[in-house]
Amino acid sequence: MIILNILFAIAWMALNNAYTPVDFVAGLLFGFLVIIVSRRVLTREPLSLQSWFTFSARRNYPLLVWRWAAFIVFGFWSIVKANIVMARIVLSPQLRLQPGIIAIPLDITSEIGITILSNLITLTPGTVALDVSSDRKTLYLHAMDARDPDALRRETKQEFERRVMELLP
Amino acid sequence: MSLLEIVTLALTALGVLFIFLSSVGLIRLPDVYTRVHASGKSATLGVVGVLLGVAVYYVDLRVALEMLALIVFFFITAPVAAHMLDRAAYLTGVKPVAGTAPDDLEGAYNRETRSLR
Repeated sequence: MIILNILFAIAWMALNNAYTPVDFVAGLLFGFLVIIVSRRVLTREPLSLQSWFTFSARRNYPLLVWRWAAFIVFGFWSIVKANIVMARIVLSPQLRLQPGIIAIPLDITSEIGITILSNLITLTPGTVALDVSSDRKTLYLHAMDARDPDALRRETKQEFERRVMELLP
Repeated sequence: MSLLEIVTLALTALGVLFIFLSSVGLIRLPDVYTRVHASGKSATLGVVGVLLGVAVYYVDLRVALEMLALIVFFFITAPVAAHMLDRAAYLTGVKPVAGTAPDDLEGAYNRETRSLR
């Protein structure tokens, strides 16, 4: 779908005979509209009113685009937060740390999904992804504040893994 | 001073501030694992701040796209570097600072094959 969207944008530029980045973005937007209107045809879903609502999430291109955008905003906000938390720890007069290394069972299975999840964990407050077990089922992370390992485990699974799993298997 | 110059200055200053804080963290924090937090995290926003400052300074789409690409690459590579440092430290037997608890990695590595349970 994303490839189709880019092809639409290129076709748009060719038909307009205008090759500036602005035209490319315009092409992307109009291509996106075309895909929304014709998505049931493009994915060979049966043409019925019902299929508008029962469309599976992973093939729903508009929803995926929205989720990726939300994910990027969420990721960037987490990074800003992580830096502020870090600054506060570094500048506090007394370092009172309770670091720990915590194992987290993974539900996410794809390599790219695990990569994105561990990158996200490293860039977010208080945690660094340390390693993934050889069978890709456990993620080890180092936390600055590991006073409550279970809360950290729960938070990581619900906040981060769920978000990544919505995008990748 | 024009508005663009002020924005450039603010972004670059913010970037430099965070890079400075991450160096302070490198000195103050007690062990490798906590120091990786400082270098891997504070540095990201620092570099992003400086790069955005450059993008604003030139007011040029090409430069802005280049900076955007650099930021994306940085977000991809910085956590990998942090992971490699931590992993190498643990595999070569660097002990975490006293008081590190829990340590779920304790005994989980097979140091010969470097596989991890």
